[in-house]
Amino acid sequence: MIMDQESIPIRVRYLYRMLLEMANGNLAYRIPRSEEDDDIEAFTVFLNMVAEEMKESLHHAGYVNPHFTYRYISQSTFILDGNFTIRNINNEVTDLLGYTPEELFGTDFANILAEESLSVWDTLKGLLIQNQSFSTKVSLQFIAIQQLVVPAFCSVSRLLLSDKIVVSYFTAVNQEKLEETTSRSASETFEKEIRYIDIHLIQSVYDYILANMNRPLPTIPELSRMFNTNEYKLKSGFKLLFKTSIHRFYTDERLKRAHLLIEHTATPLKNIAANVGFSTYPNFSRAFKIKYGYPPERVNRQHGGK
Amino acid sequence: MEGYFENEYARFSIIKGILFFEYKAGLSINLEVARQVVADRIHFQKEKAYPIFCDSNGLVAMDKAGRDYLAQYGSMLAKAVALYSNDNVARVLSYFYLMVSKPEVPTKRFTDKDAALQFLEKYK
Repeated sequence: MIMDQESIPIRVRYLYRMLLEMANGNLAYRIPRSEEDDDIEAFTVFLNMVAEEMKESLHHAGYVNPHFTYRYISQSTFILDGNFTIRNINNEVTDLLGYTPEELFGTDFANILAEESLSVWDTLKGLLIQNQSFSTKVSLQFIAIQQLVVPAFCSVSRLLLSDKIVVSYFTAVNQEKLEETTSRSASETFEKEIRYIDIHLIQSVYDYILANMNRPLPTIPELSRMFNTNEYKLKSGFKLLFKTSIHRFYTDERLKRAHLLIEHTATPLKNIAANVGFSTYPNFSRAFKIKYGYPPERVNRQHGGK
Repeated sequence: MEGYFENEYARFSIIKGILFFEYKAGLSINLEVARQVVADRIHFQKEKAYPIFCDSNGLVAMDKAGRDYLAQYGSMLAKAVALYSNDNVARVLSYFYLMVSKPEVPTKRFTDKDAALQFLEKYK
């Protein structure tokens, strides 16, 4: 197998392994980085970034959707003892990392962590020993069986009545797994609706808006003409895929920029409101307060301006 | 030189109406770094927009959250951005940033400093 052939440099073998995982729908892995700055490293970085982008796109397209009753999540859990040895795991761990339970039971948890995470883990161990009710969230990088890296945002906590520790991590599962475990009708409705939406078109509209934040938002009829579609498809497609209306999205982005400008410049608030495209200051102030829960005047201005 | 500033992640200076921005060696950009860099830059520019020369040779990695943040908010108070890099990894990071994260203002990649400065002249 190419992936294991010793005549091929190990870093090139990683590239093949990664592509294979991605082809199998696994976008959670990353190729470990080296200290080199050659073509292989450039390709490695590029491929990692591609997987990261794809993972987020899939994630967003509805695999984890708060508007639905069922959440399509997978939870990986480790139970460690007071010596940070793995005492128990659930099935998802073996799916995610590729080791058999026997390979993991009784081994030091640190063995499956990537080098970048070892010092963080050391610090955590100290805190877990000192504090009986310690609990935190932390980014850890695991090493899967093919030596590929799996970044995971984990919850680490001590169980209260013993010295056991739980390390847990959630991820969105791929299509096949979720069909087994979730209601047919919820996913069917979404799938049906999404089939009639030109995802590429809606993405273009989204990108267009972001690229033109310094201009007034075209009206919905204008946008429909620009993108060769009808108003209903535009509005409902955007709402379904991005979970917000076009207008709300645009306003939110304007307000975020305003917040940054208020925090870090001494520009008068009236000017900032105009800069980010609000027609009157009261309109700006109202929208700002709705979004942030406090008025523009209350933003901590590091410049001390008004 | 019209001003100089340095933080944990980068060095900023304004020379002849162009903002020179240099990432420090070995830097990995995540959301937190991106936020700090943008905040400090906006602060340093004192509300004025500039064409920006960005030397990204120091970059080793950029995660998606950092990329996306920079593509949007890193364009604030920027008239145009020239991304300068010769190192392989830095070049690939710039390329990806340009083609996928799609920054909001005119942004081009350069391996030659003079060409980069020439590009920025138009935006002064």
